[in-house]
Amino acid sequence: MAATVSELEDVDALVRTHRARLLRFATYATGDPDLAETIAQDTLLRAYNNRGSFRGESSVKTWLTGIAINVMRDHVRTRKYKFWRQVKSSSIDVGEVSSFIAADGLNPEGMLLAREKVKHLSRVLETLSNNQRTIFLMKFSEDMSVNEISEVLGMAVNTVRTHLQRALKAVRGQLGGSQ
Amino acid sequence: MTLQQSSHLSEEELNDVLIGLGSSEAKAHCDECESCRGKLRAFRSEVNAFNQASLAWSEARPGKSLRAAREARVRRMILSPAVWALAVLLLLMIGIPVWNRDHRAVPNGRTEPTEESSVSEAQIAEDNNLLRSVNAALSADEASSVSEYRLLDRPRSHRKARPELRSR
Repeated sequence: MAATVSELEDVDALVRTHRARLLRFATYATGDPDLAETIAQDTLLRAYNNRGSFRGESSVKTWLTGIAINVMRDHVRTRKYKFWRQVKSSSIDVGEVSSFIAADGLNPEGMLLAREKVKHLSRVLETLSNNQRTIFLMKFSEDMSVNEISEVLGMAVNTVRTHLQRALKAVRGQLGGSQ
Repeated sequence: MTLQQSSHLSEEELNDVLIGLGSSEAKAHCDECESCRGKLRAFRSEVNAFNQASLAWSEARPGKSLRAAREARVRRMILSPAVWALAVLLLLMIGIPVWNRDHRAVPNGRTEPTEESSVSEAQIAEDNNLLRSVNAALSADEASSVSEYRLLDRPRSHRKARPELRSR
C-alpha cells in the first residue's frame, strides 16, 4: 500500500508509469487521439489533485481507469453543447499504430502478419458500440476483471458480461474471416 | 452439460472462457481440445499484437507537462462561458439591491436621503440638545396663561387693595 501511495505522491512517476496506457485507452475508447491526449492529462491531473481520496481498495491502474471514464463522460457531456465543432478533431491512423509492432524474433512475413492483425482489430473496434468497445478495452487491454469493470462503470456484472459477449462475438466473428 | 472430446465448445462458451467466466468443464475441455485451444490462442495473439503496438504508439506520442495542462485548465476555466455567466449573476445579485437602496423612489418622486448623507449619531444628539435649549428659552420668554392673567397674584392684590379702599 505504501508503494502505491508514494506512486501517487510523485507526479513524475505517475505520468511515467500510467500516461501511455491511459492515452491508449482513451484513444481507442473515443477514437480521437487529440481528445485522448487531453483526457489522459486531465485524468492524471485529477488523480494527482485527489490522491488523498485513493483508499487502496483497487489498484492504482484500476482507479485511474475509473477516473478516465469519468473524464471521458464529462468531455462527451461538454461536447454536446459545442455543436459548432466537428464530432472528431482527429482520427486514429491505423497504419501508423501497426508500424509500432516490435520486431522481436519476427521474420518479415511474421512482422507483416502481426501488422495486419493490429490493423484488423483496430478497424473492428471502430464498428463496436461505445459501451462494447470501452468494456472490451477494459477487459483485454487494461486486464481488468468483470467485477472491476462493473464497479468502475456502475453497471451490473451481467450487463458487463452481455456487452463483452456481444463485443467478442463481433470481434471474433470478423477476425475469423481474416484468419 | 458434459463436454466430450468429440464436441467442441460453442462460441458463447469460448467467449465465456475468454472473459474469465468459463465453467470448470469448459476450461478442462480447452486443456484437452487442440481445436478450441487454437481458437483461444488466435484471439489472444491478435489482442496481444494490438496491445503491444498501441502501447508503443502511445509511448511515442509526445506529452505535455502536467504543469502546462494545469495552466491550460485554468485558462479554459477563466474563459468558460459558465464562469462569465456566474460572474454576471453575482454582479446582478449584489448590484440590484445596492441600486435599490441608493435610489429608492418615494411617492412624490423625490429620493430618500441615503445613509451616507444622513448625519451621524453625535450630530443628532447635538441638534437635539440645541433644540431643547431653544425650546427652553422660548418657553421661558413666553408668558404662560397663568402668569399672563395673574391668576396667582390676584388674591394677594385683592387683599392689599382692601386696606386701600378702607383708607379711602
